[in-house]
Amino acid sequence: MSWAAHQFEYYAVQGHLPKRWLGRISFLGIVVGDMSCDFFGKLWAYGFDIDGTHYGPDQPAQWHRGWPGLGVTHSILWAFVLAGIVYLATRSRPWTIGVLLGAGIHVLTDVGDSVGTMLAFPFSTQTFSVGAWAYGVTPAGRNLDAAAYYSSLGFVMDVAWLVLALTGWRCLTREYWRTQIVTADPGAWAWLGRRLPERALVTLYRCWFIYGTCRLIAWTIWAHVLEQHQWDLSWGGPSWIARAEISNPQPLLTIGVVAVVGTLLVLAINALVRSPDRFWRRR
Amino acid sequence: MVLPTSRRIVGVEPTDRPNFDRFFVLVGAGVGGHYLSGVRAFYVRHEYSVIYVVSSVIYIAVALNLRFLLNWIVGPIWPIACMWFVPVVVRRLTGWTDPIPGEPGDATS
Repeated sequence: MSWAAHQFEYYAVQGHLPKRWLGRISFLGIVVGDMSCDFFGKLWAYGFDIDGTHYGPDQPAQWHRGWPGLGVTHSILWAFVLAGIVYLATRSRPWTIGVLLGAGIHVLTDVGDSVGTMLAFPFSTQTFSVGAWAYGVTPAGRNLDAAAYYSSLGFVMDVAWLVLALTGWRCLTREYWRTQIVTADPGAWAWLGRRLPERALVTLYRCWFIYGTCRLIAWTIWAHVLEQHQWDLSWGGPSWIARAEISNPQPLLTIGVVAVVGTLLVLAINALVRSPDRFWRRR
Repeated sequence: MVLPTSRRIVGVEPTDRPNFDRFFVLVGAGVGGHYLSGVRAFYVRHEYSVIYVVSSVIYIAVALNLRFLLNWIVGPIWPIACMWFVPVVVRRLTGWTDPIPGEPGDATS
């Protein structure tokens, strides 16, 4: 489970796109693809209470990341299936690649916690995990999960993605938005531009960065100033929360699989970027 | 959507009026490039930055007490709503005549 890291990764990726990919990938597609992984399963993973009765899965980690369960949304297969659906529905190259890249990045970054993701699904239902911090989704709810995440190496993960996004800070400028973001996906931005003034459009582009920063600051203040949860930056921490696992975390194996899957993703995107125009709708 | 020519403030110098400064905008490049200038209160020149910072501080302060607001729907919509409406509301309430930065009537638009 990563928190604000998922917001920062949109900008970290966009700000460091290879030149040959610039202007060919929809930023909004990256956002939609990234969000799709948690959209279907996250709410039920926490569950909710009505009149003292808790409704939710018995094993949140299995439901969210495993099989049987909705763990398929955290597999590289999901990224390709979603991109295939977008392609069939829109024939839009920027959106197809954007969704593929966004979902792929989400799946790869979620290997950091103790549960990990099913990177090799459907060939294997094993979850690959580095186990750097404890997966904290429990029936106790989101607050405990946030406290655990922002007391562990998860906090470091968020800050690292923030720093990576900031190293490509030019992608947050109005100039970049006008010259790279809009031109890559003129249809969607033109549609939005008929409804919103430019200052709101630029803020729409930046809003996940602002939200991620606020989220990082707010949860950290809440966990350590208001609630005074204990920091535990040891590997696999924090020790004060039950650590959920599906398969045993295997950091070295996971890094190897991430490298293979990441390479596959890059090759697929390269192929899509270079594919003949006749396969795509003209912009 | 018709995208305006990209312009940005490239220079600022003080004026006789307190809190007001003259800004310069570079239009075009090369032989045809030229400067436009205008006078604007510094708080209008930095209006967007102020809105970003103040709206974020308000969001964090409120969300520390109402943590359900720290969700993926409210979180992104809040800065968009602030940036959309605050410049308009401020001008209505205060009677400012300064154009909204980047909008029609503004030298940087």
